[in-house]
Amino acid sequence: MGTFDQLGAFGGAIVSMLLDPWSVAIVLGASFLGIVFGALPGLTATLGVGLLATLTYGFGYQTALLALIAMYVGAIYGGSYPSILLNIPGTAASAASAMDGYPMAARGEGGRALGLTTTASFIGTLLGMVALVVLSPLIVEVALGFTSYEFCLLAIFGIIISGTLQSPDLVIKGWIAGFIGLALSVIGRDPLMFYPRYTFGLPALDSGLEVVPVLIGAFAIPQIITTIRTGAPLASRQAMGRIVPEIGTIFRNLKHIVRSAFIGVGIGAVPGVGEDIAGWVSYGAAKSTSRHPEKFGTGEPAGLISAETANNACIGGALIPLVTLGIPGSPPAVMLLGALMLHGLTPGPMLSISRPTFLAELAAVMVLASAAMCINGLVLARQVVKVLRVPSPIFLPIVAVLSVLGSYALGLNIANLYLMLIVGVAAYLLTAMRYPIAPLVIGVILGPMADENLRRALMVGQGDLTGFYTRPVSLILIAAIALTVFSQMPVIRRGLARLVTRGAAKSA
Amino acid sequence: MATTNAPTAAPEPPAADGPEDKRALRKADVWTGGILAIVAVFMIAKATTFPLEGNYAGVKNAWYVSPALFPLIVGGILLILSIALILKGRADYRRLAGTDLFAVPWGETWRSGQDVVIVSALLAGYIVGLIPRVDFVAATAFFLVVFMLIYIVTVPSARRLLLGGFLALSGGAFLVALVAWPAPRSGGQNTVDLLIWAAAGIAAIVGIMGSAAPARRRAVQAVITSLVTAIILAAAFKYFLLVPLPTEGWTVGLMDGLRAVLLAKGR
Repeated sequence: MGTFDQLGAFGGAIVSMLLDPWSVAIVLGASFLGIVFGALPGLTATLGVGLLATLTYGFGYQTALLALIAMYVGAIYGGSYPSILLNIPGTAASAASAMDGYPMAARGEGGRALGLTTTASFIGTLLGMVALVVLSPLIVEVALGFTSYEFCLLAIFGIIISGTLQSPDLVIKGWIAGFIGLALSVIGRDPLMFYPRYTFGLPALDSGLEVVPVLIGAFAIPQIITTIRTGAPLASRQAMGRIVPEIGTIFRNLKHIVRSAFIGVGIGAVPGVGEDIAGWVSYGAAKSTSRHPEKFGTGEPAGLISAETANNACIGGALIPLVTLGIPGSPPAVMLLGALMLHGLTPGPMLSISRPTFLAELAAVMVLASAAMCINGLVLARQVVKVLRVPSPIFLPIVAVLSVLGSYALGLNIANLYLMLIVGVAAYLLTAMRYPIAPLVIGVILGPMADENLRRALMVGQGDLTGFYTRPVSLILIAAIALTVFSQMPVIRRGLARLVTRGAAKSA
Repeated sequence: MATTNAPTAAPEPPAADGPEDKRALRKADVWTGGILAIVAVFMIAKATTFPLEGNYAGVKNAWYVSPALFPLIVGGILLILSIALILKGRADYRRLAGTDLFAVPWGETWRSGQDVVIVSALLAGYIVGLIPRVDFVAATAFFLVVFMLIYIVTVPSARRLLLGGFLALSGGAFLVALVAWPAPRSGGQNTVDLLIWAAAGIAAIVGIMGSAAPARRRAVQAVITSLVTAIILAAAFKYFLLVPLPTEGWTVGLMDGLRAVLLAKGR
């Protein structure tokens, strides 16, 4: 199909869905549900898409796609609500949003933070959609070139960069948190030989640690204990400020938005690396390129905008390998893959032949889903902020019950609740000693990927490590890891500072 | 090796800016570094008991297929990082004029940590004692009433009574279940569920009576919120999200019956 045919199909799909009241109700309702799923700690975009997939079985594929994408977009956006208002990321994707969103809310700018988040998420989703349509072949080609070497190094890089960026005290503590996560990830049967590691004969540990209870325990329990212990309000009760898009702030941060969209799409296109990492990498890039990096973490709008643009742009990126190769780019995309198959669509190269207009229809669905998210976000924001009116001794026990239900719902396994409790208490103790928690969770998520791909890479090279530094992308990743680690060493920093001083003196 | 980063992490711990706080933090670093080093050594030692060579997809007896490879690398790096943390913490502690690295201020630790113990105990009682064996709505209402009221009541003895009663009942349920427990939705299970409801009612009365006038209104709000939240969450997960509840007893049976009647009337 030619470009004009695709544009025609895109416009036709938008008009037909907008003229159908049922479709409008579905997209608004699914988006609302998605925001609620994302906003409630413990419920994830993956769970939301999965649960909704079973409810859309009776729909036509276009309506089902509309509902599922609206849920996915809404949930990734909705995760920022508790991140900003409560400092509890609703989903791992929005963990980076808490860094600047929560300080903004704490100083009475919760409404402004939510308005910026809504706009950034809307723009991010749209840019992700544009990338899905336009850059699809190029990005897929790059991602297809990734082998075990790159996947292993990408996992290590994700953990190191998150540990470096997040540590509130010594950077080494961030790295330790990441390696604790990696250590936890080896519990269970190993991915190649299925040999039980650190299971101590307990069948519940055979399949390894579930990510959702670890995520909920690590983020929700410390927040509950900290807030109860300090008796602090959930966030400031001062005037919220306006909850409308700040066009001026958005324009001033245009470079961050564009860069974050590229990062989000690029990371989303790599299978298995989803929104969780995109937010952090984008946040790190914004901080390292800012003229005022010291403002990051204190309520800097650029940090919030970067994280939110990237995690929503990641949706479009994650759909690229899903649609063209049948490989999901993120955990919610895995659910989406199953849901599409329920409707008789098999994502992959043949999809463009069996349904030539599918990509255009998907783009139309993403536009409507992001518009619904924006409308719901701007209307709902003030209502959600009313959560702050509830006294913390009444609200936090309810968060505890939601966390319990969220940990239980995905696998219907009581052992997950024990895991959540143990991880939660341990995470509180680590938090009290100023260890960052997100690298730990990222370590648990990326550990199996690093483990399996390290061994596969070594199998390819028959034990030879040459492949790690002779491949261009892996060489870049090794350089990035080395630079991140060495730049934190005082000796190297002092040496670099001396070099810079000498250079400046010579040029003067 | 270590420098500091400015941003606050999520969730935000108490600030540690003064020299006293810094000293305490560095002392904690030495301690946690030591504990993590022991964990890393254990991880390495245990990994050496795994097969050190493996077979996969035609590769025979190769060290790089071994399930021990990744744990050994992770354990090794964790050990190095832990030792570096100990050294850094020790050096900084001395620089900050810290005296005894191994002295533990027990009194202060208890004062600052008692809420951690209370919340952990409440969650443990709910998750380990009640959820696996008591009707979900009853267990949740009881947990919510006690958790909320403990932080609302103003009379210390009422607070102790609430916490003690909850832990005694949840701990008792756990211990009794080690010996025997009635079958789901049996007469015995219904009796246990009703007992938990009665306990929740008593906790509500104790909490309301144990609150001074300004807090009493909030205590009543907490009791109503507990009851409504338990019912709404159970109904939302069971009927809307189609997630079966961990234990469905007397109350969930009552909700099922009510729903059946409403559906029959709707038809």
